Amino acid sequence: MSTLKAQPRLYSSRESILTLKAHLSGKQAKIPKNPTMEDYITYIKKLSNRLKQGPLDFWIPNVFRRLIQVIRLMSSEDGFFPIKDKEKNFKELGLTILRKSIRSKTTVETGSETGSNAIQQDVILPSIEQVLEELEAHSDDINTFASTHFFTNEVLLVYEYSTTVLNFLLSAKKTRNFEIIVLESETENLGKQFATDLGKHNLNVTLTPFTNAYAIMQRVNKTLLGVDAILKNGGLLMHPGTYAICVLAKQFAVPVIVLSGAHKLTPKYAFDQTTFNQLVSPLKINPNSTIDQMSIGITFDYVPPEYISLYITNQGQYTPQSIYQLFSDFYNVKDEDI
Amino acid sequence: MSEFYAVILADSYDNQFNHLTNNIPKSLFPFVDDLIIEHQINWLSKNEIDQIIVLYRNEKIAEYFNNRRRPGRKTQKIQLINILDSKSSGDALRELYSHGIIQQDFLLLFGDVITNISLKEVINKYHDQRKEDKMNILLMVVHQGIQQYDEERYLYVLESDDKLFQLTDLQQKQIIINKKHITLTKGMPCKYVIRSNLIESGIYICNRDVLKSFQEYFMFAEIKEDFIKYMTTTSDIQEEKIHLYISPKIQVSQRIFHAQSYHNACLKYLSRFFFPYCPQQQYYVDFFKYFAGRVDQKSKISDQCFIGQNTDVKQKVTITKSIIGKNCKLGIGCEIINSILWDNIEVDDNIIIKDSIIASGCKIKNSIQSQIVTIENQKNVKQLLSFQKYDDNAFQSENSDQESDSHELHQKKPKENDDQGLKEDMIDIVANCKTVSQVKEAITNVDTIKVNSNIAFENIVIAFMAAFLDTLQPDVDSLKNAYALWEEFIIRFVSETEVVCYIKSIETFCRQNQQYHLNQFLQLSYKHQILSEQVIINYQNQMATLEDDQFAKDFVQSSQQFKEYLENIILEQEQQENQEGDGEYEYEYVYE
Repeated sequence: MSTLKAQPRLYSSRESILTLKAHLSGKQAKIPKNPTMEDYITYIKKLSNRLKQGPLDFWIPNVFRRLIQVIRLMSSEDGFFPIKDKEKNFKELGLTILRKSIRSKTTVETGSETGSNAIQQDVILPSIEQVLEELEAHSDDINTFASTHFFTNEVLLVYEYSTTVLNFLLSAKKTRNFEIIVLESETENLGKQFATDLGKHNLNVTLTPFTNAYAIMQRVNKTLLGVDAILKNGGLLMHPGTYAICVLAKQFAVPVIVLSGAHKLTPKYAFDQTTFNQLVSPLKINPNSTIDQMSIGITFDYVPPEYISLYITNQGQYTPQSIYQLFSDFYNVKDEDI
Repeated sequence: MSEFYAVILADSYDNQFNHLTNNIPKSLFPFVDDLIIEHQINWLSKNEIDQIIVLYRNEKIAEYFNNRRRPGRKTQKIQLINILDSKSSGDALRELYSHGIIQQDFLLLFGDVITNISLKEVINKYHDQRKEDKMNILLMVVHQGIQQYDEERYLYVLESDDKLFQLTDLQQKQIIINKKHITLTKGMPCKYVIRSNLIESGIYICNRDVLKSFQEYFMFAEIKEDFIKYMTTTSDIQEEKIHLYISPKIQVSQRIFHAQSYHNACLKYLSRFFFPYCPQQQYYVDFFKYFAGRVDQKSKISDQCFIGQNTDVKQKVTITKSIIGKNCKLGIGCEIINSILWDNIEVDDNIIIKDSIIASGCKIKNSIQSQIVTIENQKNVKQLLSFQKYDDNAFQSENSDQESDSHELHQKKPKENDDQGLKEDMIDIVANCKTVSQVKEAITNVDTIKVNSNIAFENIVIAFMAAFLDTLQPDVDSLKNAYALWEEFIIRFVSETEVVCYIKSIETFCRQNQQYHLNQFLQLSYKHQILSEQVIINYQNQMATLEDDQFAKDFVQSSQQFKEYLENIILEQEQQENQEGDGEYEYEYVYE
């Protein structure tokens, strides 16, 4: 049986943005002549609908929402963003200088420039660049918060494969010494791969089966989890099995820290396990299922916000009670119906 | 990919479903929510194969495709080729070769395969192997699992890189493996693998050379028994090679050989084994139950059931692991266990259907006798009494006329029996009741009798009056007492529609026994509010018109006073209404 390597959700988001860029530059987009900002925005919404891979695909609409928000901000304030860090300040400055130079270039080269193309050059393409940068650099931003949260010789618990957590641990290794326990899920083989990947970098890793979770939770200091989607009420949609870990962690008063890039923020609400979920084939869980002895496979686990202690995103650190603020900065309310 | 053809052999050459396949080919069997061939076309279009050729023997497939209006991919093109003269799948392939449509590679699909195998990797492997060696002509797709049915029991002997060395039927008594080329030396890794956990899926990716070899060897009738066996047994002479593609464990398929595998495939489809090809999410209720029709709350439906669109399931129905098609009607108290019901079926009350397949258009009625079940060979085909033949798709239609006649005969007898029984019961009840509370009990008794035996109110009133009038004696006091005692009973059962037979029964009684006066009966009935004024007046007018009848004339004379009294009352009521009429409003409700 071939083992599947887990693909970060990042890939699908990035590919969709790149297709949009290709459409715009290759002039395949069906945009009416002399388009305004609104025309571009409706086109982007239609494209996200088309590229979406099913009703449970959140990542492609998320990244397009972010793009539309960036476009709105750029066009309204002519480029200046609410500034968060000093480092970012210089980044913004560099962008505006670059943009102004581009604008001057276009007006010099082609004298008869239509207003539409100017919009495209000034606003859309730079905002695409910005969103792509945010996607690619999200790991670095998360890792900057790494050193503040750990003490030396701590025992950390992780579950199955997560690229965000992997990068986080690799960067934290430079400053601290700690021990990692990898919990393996019963149904997929990715835990083993995660342990080998960590072990290649000389980290102290232990691999245990899922049934051992109760026994080792008493000796664990912190839990680090990767996530599939963060919902607006603070709830999470995660790999099947994490709900059990979160309940256990609360039982033993172990803080649960969630790491994710901001492209996983989804402005939707869920209330129970079945709101955003899908039953898959029972053969995925147990390859020897028959009709009489069947397993039930689901796509996501919904974890309510009460079980989480902290969210670390590339836009900052938040508690479940306050993560809604990030949504209002990151997205616009008008775009939540994509 | 545009050149890649998919060939569907839309007919089976075996006798398993003989009764049904005389009318419809196996590809047009309904499979849970759609026909088998629609599932296959859907699967092919999801795997981006647009050119489809359907080889058919039965005219119904041509009719179906002519009338087919389904949304599909824009580039999809379905061709139909008639293979009327063929007696085996080998003949069908020869016919296909003679048409000369297929230039390169094609996918061969049997008409009874339900699957979720993703074809992208299969086709890639096929092209890779073609590049290696031009002699790789057939790629047989198999999936891993437990071999359940006799038709699936084969032993696969494989060389390296999944090349098929030998394929033996496990049903034979002796299994001989071609030992010529197997040499085992100590210490060397064994080149051959023998597997018995593979099940062929009915999907083959073939080259045009396969068709050529069918044309050459005219005795080839089947693909597996003849062609593959020949190619593998004579592999030292022949150079053609056959490979296997073993799909990952998530991807399965199921062929429908006989009734048992049909049922098994339906249950697997409901349990989402063929994810992402599943019934629609909007019908999903609970653990693998899909309700597209109306189900009453009092019925019990187990896991893994499907209720089709517009189907009406009444109360107290138990359905266990069954599939019910569109527009069906199930009566009260039915039990349906492990069955497949197609479309447009009407099932009456209290019928048990077990382990059967019921074709479209049947009407299944109840009879007093117990139901007869016949099991023919391996098919569980249930012969039920009295079903009618519809336009198409009903089996065993020759017997239906005889059986419907016998059914009607049976129905007449119990009616008379019931009447006699009712009269006796009523006499018992009337004789035993002496007090008002006993009368109340009697009311409930008669109610239950009515509901259980489904008797009309009229019959009850007639029977009761016969019994009641027997107990009377010819003086006024006994009449008054009797009416006072039975007032509630009579009011309960004599409503507007039964008034006629009530009065009729009294009239006949009075005609027979001259001591009783009809007038007294009517007055007492009016006093106890059994009859209203208008009714009595109508009756009296009616009696006045009967001229030849002495009895009627007597009655009219004696009841003259009573009649005037009633008419006065009616006049007073009308005057009262007129006075109050000014102050009353009629409200019209406006529904917003």
